[in-house]
Amino acid sequence: MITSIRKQDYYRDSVFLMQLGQKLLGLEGIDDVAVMMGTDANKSTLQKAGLFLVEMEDAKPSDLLIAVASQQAEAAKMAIETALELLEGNFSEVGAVKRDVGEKAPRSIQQAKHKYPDAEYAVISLPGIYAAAEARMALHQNLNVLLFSDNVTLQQEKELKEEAKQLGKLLMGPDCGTAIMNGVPLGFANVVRKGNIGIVGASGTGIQECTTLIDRFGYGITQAVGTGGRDLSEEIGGETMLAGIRMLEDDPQTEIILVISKPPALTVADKILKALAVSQKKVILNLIGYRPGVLPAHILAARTLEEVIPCISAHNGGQKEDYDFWLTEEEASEIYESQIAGQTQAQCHIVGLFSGGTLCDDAQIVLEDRGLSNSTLTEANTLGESEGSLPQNLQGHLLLDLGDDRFTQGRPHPMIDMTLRQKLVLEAAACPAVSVLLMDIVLGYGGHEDPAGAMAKTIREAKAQAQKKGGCLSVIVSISGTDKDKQNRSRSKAVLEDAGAVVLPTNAQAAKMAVLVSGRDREKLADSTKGIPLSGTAPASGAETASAATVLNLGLEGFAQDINAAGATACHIEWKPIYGGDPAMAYKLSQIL
Amino acid sequence: MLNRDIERLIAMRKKIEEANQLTIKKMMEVSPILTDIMRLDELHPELKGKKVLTHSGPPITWERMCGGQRGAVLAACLYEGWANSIEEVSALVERGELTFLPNHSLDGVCPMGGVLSPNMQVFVVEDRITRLRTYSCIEYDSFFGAFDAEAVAEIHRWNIVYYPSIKKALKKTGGLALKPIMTQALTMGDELHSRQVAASAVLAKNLAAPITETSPSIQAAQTQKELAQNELTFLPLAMCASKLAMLNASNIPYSTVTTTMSRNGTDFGIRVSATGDTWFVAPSPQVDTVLFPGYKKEDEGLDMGDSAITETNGLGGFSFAAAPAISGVINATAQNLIDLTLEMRDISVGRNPAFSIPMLDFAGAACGIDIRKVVQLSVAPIIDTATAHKEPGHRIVGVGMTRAPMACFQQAMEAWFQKYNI
Repeated sequence: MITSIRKQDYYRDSVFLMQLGQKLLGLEGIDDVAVMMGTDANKSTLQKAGLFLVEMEDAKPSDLLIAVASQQAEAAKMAIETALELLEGNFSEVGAVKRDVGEKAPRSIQQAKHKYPDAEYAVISLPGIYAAAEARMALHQNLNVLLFSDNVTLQQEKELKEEAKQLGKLLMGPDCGTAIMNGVPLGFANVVRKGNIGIVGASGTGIQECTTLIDRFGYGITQAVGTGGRDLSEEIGGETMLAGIRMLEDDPQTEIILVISKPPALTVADKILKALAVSQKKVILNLIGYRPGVLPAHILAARTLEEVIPCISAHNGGQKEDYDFWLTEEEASEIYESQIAGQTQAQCHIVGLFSGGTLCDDAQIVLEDRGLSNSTLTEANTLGESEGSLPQNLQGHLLLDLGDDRFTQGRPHPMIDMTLRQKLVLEAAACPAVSVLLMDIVLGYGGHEDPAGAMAKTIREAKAQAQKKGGCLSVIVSISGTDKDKQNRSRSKAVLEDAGAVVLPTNAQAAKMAVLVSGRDREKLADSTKGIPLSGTAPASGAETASAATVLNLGLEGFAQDINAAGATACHIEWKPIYGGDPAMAYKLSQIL
Repeated sequence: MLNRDIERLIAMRKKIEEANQLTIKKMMEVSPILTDIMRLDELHPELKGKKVLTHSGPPITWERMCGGQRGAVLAACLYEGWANSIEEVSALVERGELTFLPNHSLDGVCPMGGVLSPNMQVFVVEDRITRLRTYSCIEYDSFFGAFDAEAVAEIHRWNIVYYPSIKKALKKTGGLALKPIMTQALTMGDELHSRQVAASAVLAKNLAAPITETSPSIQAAQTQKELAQNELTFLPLAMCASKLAMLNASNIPYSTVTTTMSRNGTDFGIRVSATGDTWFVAPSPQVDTVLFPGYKKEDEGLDMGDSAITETNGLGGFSFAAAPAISGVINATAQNLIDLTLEMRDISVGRNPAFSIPMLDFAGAACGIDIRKVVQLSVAPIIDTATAHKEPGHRIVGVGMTRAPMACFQQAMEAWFQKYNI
């Protein structure tokens, strides 16, 4: 039987039509096909081929004729439908190359999502005034967002988090530096093992310290969700933290939920505790400096970042071993003695130079718990902030978060650039009251190529200087990282020790040792408990492999490079601001794009 | 923002996508047929007996009209016998005896200066299903600003010999479908704005026998001679086909698709589907022109004509990759032409399979200029065009490329935001 259709005034190129005909001929149940314009010559051809029908008689040369010979009507129907689809489509099926001529990088989140329809995440590190608009559009492209940018307004954060909630997506940020989703590092993150611990953290370096400790003791993570620095404020109410907790609650791989933050606003702490109280999983609450009231049995509280490990141990059926130092007697004494050797009486203060704000807070808690205060911001101890200098007359211990806004105006962040820290190390060395230089070294994606190497040089110089002045500078550091990070923790440790620094197992312990050394507190060293904080069985955990996830990147290209290096796929977007550059217009536009 | 505001916005996104898809569907579904030739005041009887002249572009006063368009006005006045010099035209205007009207206000389009008088004959193109109708006119030298005897004689020749001959031929054939010619021309090296060689040849081919059969032999011979040597006869027809598409696509709520781009040599105006007839206007841009011998850069007038309706419809600059030969007359390499064609996809809603381009593996031309994307990406539509002299009294000075002003799209976006309370 012959089935035909006609499309009036519907010209297509004859070569194209021939290719279309060939394709239809290959379909199920089709004996013969003709696709041609209704010219007299073509009608003659159709007649000769036995595909001509009486209704084709009055077809005009500008009409398209499709004739199909088949045994079954159904086959003909399918063929004609296929033909119509291909005619109306963009022809990429019919004898053509799928790729566009001259492919170029996407210029917008919409273009990128179109190119990578399976993308699940967006990383946004654009200038703050444009970041919120792009984050909104990313959420509506069905992406979870890591919003690295700061200078996003409170109002924008509020609106975006409400929208994210409506859409069932995660907005991690603003001002969120770290997340690890499906093994893919987003922002500043370390290479750590997969396991059964899910993390939600309001702090980047807090997540980094905890994930690397987890990895060091043979455990692993499922996801690490960042919430951004302001999520736990009264106004935002912990929206992303709660969303993260819900996500981990629903995740069958997650058996332990770890929450990391500084103590939040009271109303928010309440909300979070309520959510965690009904959790079916085991929970560790790591709100640095937090003194909890009575907690339900499945929730353990950690006071400093390192206490994560004893808590995990307890959740796995062991005891919660709270050792001051995860070292033997001998190791601890040796370190202590080596650091006080050669110090003058005048040397009694700690200067802490931190690249991670939470690591600074962590150290501060250690000091406070030992009755010491951080005199950073007293009137008498004002910093030469514009030059980024230590105070002329150091009055007491001084712990500085070099990533704070005060220090990063017109300077790159201390996680990626060591210049300011190197300067301050030498200043500390020149100050006769300084006993201990306390520092964090943070490894991983996004960070400096070799922070240990960069600081080692300066440490050597600083110690030499102090020695010339007749004293001895103690340099105590901790390293947040793993051997799988490109900077390699073991190698970094060796480099720093070679330069004369001592490396303590955790940030908190570095601070504890700093207290003992600067206070010349041999007794307290003897009293302190030492040992390995693990008992109980570590559950079997898997190797760390980034998933095949695709991430769309807006802003710093380095983040895309790191994601690719980790084995996932990153698409860097060639972004520029909207016409006129008006942030308010960009924000409005994001509501309809 | 409360939850219901979020819901409203999520719903609005969907409405806009649907509206835009509907808009391009309507653009693509028109079937433009050249049905007739009429005098302008036959097609628009309200003009009968009035001293009204049409012009290209958004509304403009005589005082602000550029030199080329003033020349076109004078040519039309000479044709009608209303005035003999620019000064006399000014006097008429001052006394309120001569008024002006954009072609678009009459749902028409005309190239370059685009000045038509009520007695001038025009092509009439209609869509048989929607019954939408539009008009345009052959690109006279007068539309560039020439008003000498030869320029006025050209208008007479068309109105006396060629138009009537074509009219008779059209009556015989029952009309001429334009879209098949356009689709075919895109595969023959035309982009259907500045380059109409193939389309004009096919037009002549289609009209040859009907003209021979219906006109006295001398008129037939003269008309066919003109059709044979004029390589831009299809320009007004491509413009009409595009105008019909855009008429059908107008006034769709929520749609962010551009329905008009048009210039009068002083201002550049656009209109958008959801905001109806409102013009969004900015200064007309300079054209990157390849000059003909005898002309200098200082002679150039600014971008002018209703012919940007072709780009609005996905032709012209949007179909550059169909016309490699155009790099002979504008400042572009073959690769530029392809890159520009692809770039226009970034600011468009979809693609029109009827305008498929062989060099792009028969992908359809980008269809539906989305003002949101224009503003987001800061990418303005590319337009190719002829350039007039900045003073009256000259013919074409060159051909070139330009971009629509971003300011028009920004204004349009702001008006759209206002309309929908964003």
